[in-house]
Amino acid sequence: MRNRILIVLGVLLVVGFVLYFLGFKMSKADLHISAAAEPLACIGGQLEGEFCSADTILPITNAFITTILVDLVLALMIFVGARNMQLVPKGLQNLIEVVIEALYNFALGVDRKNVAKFFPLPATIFIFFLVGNLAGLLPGFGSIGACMPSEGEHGAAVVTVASLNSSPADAIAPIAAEGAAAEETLFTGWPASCADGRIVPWLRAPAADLNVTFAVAIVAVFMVEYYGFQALGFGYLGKFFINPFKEGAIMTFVGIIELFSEIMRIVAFAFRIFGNIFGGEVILVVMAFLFPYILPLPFYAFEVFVSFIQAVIFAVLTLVFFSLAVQEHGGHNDHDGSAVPAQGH
Amino acid sequence: MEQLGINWPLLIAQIFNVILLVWLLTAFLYKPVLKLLNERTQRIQESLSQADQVKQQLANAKRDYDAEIAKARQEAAGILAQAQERAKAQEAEIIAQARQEGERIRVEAREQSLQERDQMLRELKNQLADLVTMTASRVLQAELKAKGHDKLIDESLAELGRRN
Repeated sequence: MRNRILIVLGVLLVVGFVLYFLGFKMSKADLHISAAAEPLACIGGQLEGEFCSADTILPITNAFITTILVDLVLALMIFVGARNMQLVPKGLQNLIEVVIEALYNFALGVDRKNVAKFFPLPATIFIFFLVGNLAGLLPGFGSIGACMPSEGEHGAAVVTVASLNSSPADAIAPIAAEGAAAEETLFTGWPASCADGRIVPWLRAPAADLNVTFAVAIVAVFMVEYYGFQALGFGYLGKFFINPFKEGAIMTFVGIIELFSEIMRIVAFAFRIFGNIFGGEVILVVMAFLFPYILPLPFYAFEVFVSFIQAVIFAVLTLVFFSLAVQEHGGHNDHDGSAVPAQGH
Repeated sequence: MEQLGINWPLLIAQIFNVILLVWLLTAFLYKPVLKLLNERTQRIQESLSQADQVKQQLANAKRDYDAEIAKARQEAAGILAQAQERAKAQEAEIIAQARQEGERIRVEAREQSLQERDQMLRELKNQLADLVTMTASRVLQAELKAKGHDKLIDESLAELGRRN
């Protein structure tokens, strides 16, 4: 069995080398990395190169489209799996029950008293990011997209024809004059190739867009503060504003740091998952650019793991912050310790 | 901000998306699933306790049955022993009675036979006396008178009676 795997890998590697030297590889022009989710259309405005014009109401970015798709997938899952549930489970209902029961038991372990209140948001965060991150690893994400005219050096290539369904021919025609800008590859002239523009992927992992991660982080931190005030009233503020004459100046300073870290949680949340998922995509693209056969495989496996673990981290931290927020002031050790992992990942 | 792609309308749209998703999943996924899980837990607990109960009942029934059987067996043995005892007593009684009866019958028979013999002897004595007298008188009609012979006859008759 092991021999067979090695043989298959070896053969594929040899075939890969042959294909690589025949020219089946990524060119430098294919290597677009954008930290921002690229807009494909702009509601109320116009696409200007990589960005929407200033009067845009809502840019439709590829991450936004994927977010909607993930929502639809989840809604479909609910519709198919949880519509008429039986006491004796069958098929998809088993999977749904296993996932939700595992999440619920975990939440039960963190905070038994408030589990019913705390459970929905972390669970939703976990499920949303897990589905979104894994979807982002599907072939086609980041590689299939609309062919947008590249911004010419002199800005002449700002063309407004590009839209979701622009065929390569449409896009190439207006900028054929400056074809020199793009590198010639084997695939130039193949159907659906995008020789003279840049591919704007139709889909992009939601977590690879800071809007998504910030949105979730803001909701999560807002709910942390909300539960804190709900449980402790204005006494919640006593965690941050500590009387220096009662507990000492050092504790006052610690309280201010706590307050700061409370606010920075939004940024930490948002950039942690964004950095991991976006970084994973960059690694995969770069590896595919260096040598597109076999080489990305181990990184791909690692990204599957990262997709899962980042969803877990986001959800678990949210849950832990919830349970910390409702604790009375005085357990200094507790929230001193918790602030470290919050920034650590 | 622009390079990182942060866009206020998009951010707000995403926040709405998160809220929508939380509501959707809570209303249509977590609540029904957790309710179902609770229901199932309850049901299983109920079933298990019921099974225990039934098992207990079964064990009780078995115990009762066994006890009943043992009691019945004991009773039967008692009845049997009693019957045997009674039969034995009866047997002894019957035997004793029979023996008594036999004894009585024998005594009676003996008595009767003795009486009959006595009577027969008496009759015989009478008849013999007559007969002897008659015979002797016939034989000795001429020469012998009845005189002086009665004594002899009586003597011989007494001897006859003594011999018996």
